[in-house]
Amino acid sequence: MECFDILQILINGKKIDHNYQDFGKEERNLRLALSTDGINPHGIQSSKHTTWPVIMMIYNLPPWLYTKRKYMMLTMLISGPYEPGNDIDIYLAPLIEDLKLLWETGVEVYDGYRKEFFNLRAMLFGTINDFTQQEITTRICQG
Amino acid sequence: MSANRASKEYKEGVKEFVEFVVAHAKDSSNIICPCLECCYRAVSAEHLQDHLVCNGIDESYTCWTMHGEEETESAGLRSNVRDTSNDYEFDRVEEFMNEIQEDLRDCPEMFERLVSDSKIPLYDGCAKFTRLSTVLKLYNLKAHNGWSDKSFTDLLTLLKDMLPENNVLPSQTYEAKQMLCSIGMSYEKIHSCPKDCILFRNEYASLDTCPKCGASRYNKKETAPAKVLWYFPIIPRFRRMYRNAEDAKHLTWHEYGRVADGMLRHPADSHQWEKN
Repeated sequence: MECFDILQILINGKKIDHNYQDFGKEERNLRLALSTDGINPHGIQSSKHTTWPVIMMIYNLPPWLYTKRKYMMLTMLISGPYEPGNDIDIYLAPLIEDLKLLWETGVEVYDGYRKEFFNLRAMLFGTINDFTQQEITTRICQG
Repeated sequence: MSANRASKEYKEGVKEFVEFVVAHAKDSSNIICPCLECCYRAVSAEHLQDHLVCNGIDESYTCWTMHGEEETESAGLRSNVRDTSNDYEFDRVEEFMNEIQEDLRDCPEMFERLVSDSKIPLYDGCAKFTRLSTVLKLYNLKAHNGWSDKSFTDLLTLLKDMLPENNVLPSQTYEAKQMLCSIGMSYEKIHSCPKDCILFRNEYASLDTCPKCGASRYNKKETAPAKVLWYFPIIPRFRRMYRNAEDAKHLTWHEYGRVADGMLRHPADSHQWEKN
């Protein structure tokens, strides 16, 4: 299902590099995906307590790496006891601020491979979620 | 050596081996026998030939190190490999030291402490571990296996006791954490309204109740917040990823390492990513 979601977004999406050529020229710019769902940290199925981790994936990496735990970044932990539901945008605000900064101006970053500073930009490329969360998260994506 | 035991070739080989052994042996009545029955027990020279013909020789014994032959290249190579892996481990510490130097620019004392920890040997004369690498390895084990802080303190106390007296191992989890805190990435804990109205940050940072629904920021006791959001800032993490040469190389994989043959197997193959 998750794979299907991503493909849906990709097929319906615009050509990013065509519309924003500056972004495409720098291959070091990051394309990110955001994923979230409720988990129960106490491991008891029947419990109503849910915590919402928000995980970020980097699609620049080779596919055998970006699905590894080391490269999936936990960016947020929304504590329970109830799920945030539609109000998840309140919680994502700090993350969105950083993403906006990365998209609009970018930040100065040192590249250890080429041994030089460059302006790093990033974009939110897609989201990975199940259908119950799709409405909630896509609202953020477009906003 | 792998020839049939009944063959002439094998007999000659055995003869040659026995001659070699007798020529190099210090005591010809006490020779280590590589036959399959004896498995390197000592026998006399007269029995050696019979054993090898009747029982066959251990075929993995290609370099006669137990009978006076010098270690050849293959063995030498093996020890070389071990050496480089050791160097590599030390390199790793040095590598991440370079990565975090930038992050700790505002706090040079912290960095100096880290540098000195990475140079002090665990105890006098210990060449393999430094204070920092020991704590890092132990802490990794703790995190991997979910050891509690208390059990880790107990372990550290025991290890400190076992090591030579002048060791510098921390004796408490707290001390170990203090050593490593400068390596870790920062995080923010942001209080939020229990009914999901606002986050208590920016203009709301000083409020005690939610301006929209009036719910209290804290639980009954005025110390515990009702609901907390943990935010792990992403920009410093991207910075650190790019500072590591290997990760920086991987991050451009979609441009340089990908097979572009028109098949859809990575998001970079999609129209959305396509370059014009």
